[in-house]
Amino acid sequence: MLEQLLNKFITSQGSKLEMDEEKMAVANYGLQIIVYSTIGVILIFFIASLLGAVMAAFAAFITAALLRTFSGGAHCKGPLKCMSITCMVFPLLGVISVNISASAAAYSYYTTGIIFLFALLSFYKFAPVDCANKPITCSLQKKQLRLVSFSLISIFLLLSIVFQYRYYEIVLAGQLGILWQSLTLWPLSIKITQRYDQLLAKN
Amino acid sequence: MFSKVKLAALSGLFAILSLVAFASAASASVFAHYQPNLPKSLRK
Repeated sequence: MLEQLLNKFITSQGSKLEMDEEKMAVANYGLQIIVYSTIGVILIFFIASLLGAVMAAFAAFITAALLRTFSGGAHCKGPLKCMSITCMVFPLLGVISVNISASAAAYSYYTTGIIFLFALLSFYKFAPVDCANKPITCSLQKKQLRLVSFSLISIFLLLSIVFQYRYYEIVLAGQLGILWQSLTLWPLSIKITQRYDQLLAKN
Repeated sequence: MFSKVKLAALSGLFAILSLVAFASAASASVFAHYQPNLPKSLRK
């Protein structure tokens, strides 16, 4: 419904500028990205603030979102389905981080090591993962995306080591975001997402 | 006068939307949430 509304807005305003269909499709794509992302961020903020984990939820969200831009991952078929997962997962990761950071701090080197090893393995095996709505066909682009993904992982690892004594709650949330993003690259996650799509389509 | 300003604002808005679309086309996926269908002209 929201998709149709946005499409209607672009068509009516674009025709005033005498734009052709392809230019309107590009503008519509840009508008959809802005609108869905804004709604998603507001919802994450709202849910996370209800659960008392805004900072941690956003640490997990920003880390995963940055990696997702270059590594891709599983996507649902509709905006509401995709948003429902994102808006549940990141506040939840924030809450987990807030609640376990004090007890997990003693094992921070182990958790950091395990999460980053798993992330590197996942990225090495699968990144970048495209989806039906945005296929990646150019091999050069794939190589570049892989390179940026690995560079980002390295930067996050460095930041984790530097800040884990001072801001472990935030660091742990970021690491959980990396873990989540790594999981979305696996073929099993894509299958689970497809099942979730089918389940919601039936109801 | 008002319609000219409105038209200029609309052109600016469409330019920003197109810029967002082009910037996103170079990535593997939208940074979060739903991935809309990529227009044909942005596919490589």
